[in-house]
Amino acid sequence: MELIQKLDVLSDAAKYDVACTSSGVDREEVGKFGNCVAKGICHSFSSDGRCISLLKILLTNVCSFNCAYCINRTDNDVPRASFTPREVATLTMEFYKRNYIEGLFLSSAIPKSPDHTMEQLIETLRILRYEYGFYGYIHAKTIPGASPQAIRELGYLADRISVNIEMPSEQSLNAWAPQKSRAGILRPMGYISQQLKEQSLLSGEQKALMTRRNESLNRSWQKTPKFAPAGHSTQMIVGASPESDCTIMTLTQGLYRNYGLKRVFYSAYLPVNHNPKEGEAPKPPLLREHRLYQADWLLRFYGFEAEELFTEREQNLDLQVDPKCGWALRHPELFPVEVNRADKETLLRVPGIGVIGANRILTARRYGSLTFEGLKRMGIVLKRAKHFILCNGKAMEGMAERPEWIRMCLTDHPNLANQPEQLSLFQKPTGGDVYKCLSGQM
Amino acid sequence: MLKRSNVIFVIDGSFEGFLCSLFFGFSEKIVPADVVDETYQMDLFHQTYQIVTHEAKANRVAKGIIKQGGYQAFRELYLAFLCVHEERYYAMYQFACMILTEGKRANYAISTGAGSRVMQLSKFVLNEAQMMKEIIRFSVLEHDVLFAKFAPKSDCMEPVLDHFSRRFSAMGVMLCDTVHKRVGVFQPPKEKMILSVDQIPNPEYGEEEQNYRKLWKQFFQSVAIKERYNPKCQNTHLPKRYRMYMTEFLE
Repeated sequence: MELIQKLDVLSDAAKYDVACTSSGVDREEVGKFGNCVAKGICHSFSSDGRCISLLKILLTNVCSFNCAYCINRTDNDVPRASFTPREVATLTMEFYKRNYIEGLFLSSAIPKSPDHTMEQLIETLRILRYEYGFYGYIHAKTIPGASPQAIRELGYLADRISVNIEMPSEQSLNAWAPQKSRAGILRPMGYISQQLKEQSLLSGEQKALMTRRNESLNRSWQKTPKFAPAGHSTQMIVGASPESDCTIMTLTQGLYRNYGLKRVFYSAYLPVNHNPKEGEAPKPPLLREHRLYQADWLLRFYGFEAEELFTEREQNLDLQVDPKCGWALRHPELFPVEVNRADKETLLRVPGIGVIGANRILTARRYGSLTFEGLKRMGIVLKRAKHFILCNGKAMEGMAERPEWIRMCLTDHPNLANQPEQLSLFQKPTGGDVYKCLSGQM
Repeated sequence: MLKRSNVIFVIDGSFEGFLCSLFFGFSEKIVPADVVDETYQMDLFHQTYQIVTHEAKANRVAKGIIKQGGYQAFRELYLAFLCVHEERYYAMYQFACMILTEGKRANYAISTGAGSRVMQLSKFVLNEAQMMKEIIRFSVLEHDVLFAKFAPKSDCMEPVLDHFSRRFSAMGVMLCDTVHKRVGVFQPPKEKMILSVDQIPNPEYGEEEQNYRKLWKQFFQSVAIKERYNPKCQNTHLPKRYRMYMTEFLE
């Protein structure tokens, strides 16, 4: 099989792993080939709108497992191919030179055993780091069931490593991937998290000692050997199994707090193994996936707790408005907020004010009082924020007061099934009509 | 407070020239009606004054700005200059006056007036530089030299050349800005220069280069999930005007 055909098969096979970031580590040394930029760089966008940052491929898609959600499962009749470690390393270098990618994302199916696959991955990274001197970004997948020694060796070669949790609960995992076990996933994750924790507790002196020892023995490809400097992440499939968004977000919160993950990724279920005779295939829940990512952002950057995003009645995220708006509409007693006096935590809770916006507000306040015009110039989304803020005691024109009316204005997707109650006086009100009527201007 | 006069300062279009206009305004105590470069069309209502560029004066002003407002403020001014917007000079002038009179406090003036305009200009340049770092596609020429063309709206060659000279610190880099007709060259280990040219070079490529381009195009196609086809989303992130020199969108 020619290289270009292998690339077609093995990048097609890898595309369902949605982890795509090249962020988390700053690394540069004069004279070395390549560097890493902590905020990550997105080099292109595919026709499905997703960002392309890394050369994302499987080393091989020959698999002995039979997971129900996977296109590469052994029962399926798909074209199979394998790269050699050297082919992958060379391809990575040549693509990197041309600025197509930030680095490599390497995963693999399991033709024999988890540790055998790990050896192949390690060999590929070894060629890249030691022979070719590659200093760019590498994200390597840890195979479920791998031994701690293999994980350790992989971690010192890669920047980020990850194990996919696949399903939000043990029950669902047993139903969809009986050959993988929850323990086989959580044990490597626990091991990685432990290694990272130990590394973070090293003092400056201990790190300096490691550097000197490394220099004299010339062992590692980096000056100071580091285990997975960009941390670890995981991925789960959303919409295949019946867990609610509340379960998923509570699990996510637990993973961040107890395992120290950098990111949790959600992948809308694509029924790749659907039998057409069973009727129409379910459409991938893309909007639900989008809301989960928004909720994930709230946990990581906005100081929210998972419990705040749900109620006893509503265990799933509202598809109509984003989770932050949903929370704000349930807590009208906390608004409006005075933008010239509120602290950062409170500002972050206002829909339309993001982390950058909140920081700009705090900076600009040191110069003088803020107006709505000034907020707009600084990038605050007034279309949303105006219902929740005051500037020096004054409200902006068009501010709605009752949550139902605010929801009318904020609705992105009015055609969805769970519409708010129609106000009884009107046929099909738009946000603008409601205000005109209230102020007598109909 | 001095009254705004009806004199327009005309500079030669360089950053040093701009700094000299500040020197002139402060030493003669004139507040200009506008600050423009030589492309400006004269009108009957204003007097013009041609600012002469002196390196020594420019350096003095630069030092003064850094001392008063910090290096961050100076960088904001320089980035705003790179934005190539006709009205940038006056906003920069006003902001520089704020720095020289109010000191570090001027750095917080981001929501109104000259401060917010300068911030918008500098953000434009930084965002475009970031975009260029993403979408520039190199071709590998003889002797391991990386060659690329790009077409930015602002003059972001400096931050972009700096990024690639650090990433490929052992290889030669040649970046061609086809809009502003400039070529940025990096020769390891440390030589960096930016030259103005009449014509952008058009080198020939070998078979190996063609092969890797084909491989990249193949990867780009294979990676898309058809059930999630969303050209609108792709367009928001990657407007069509950026795709001119991107290998995966050519031919």
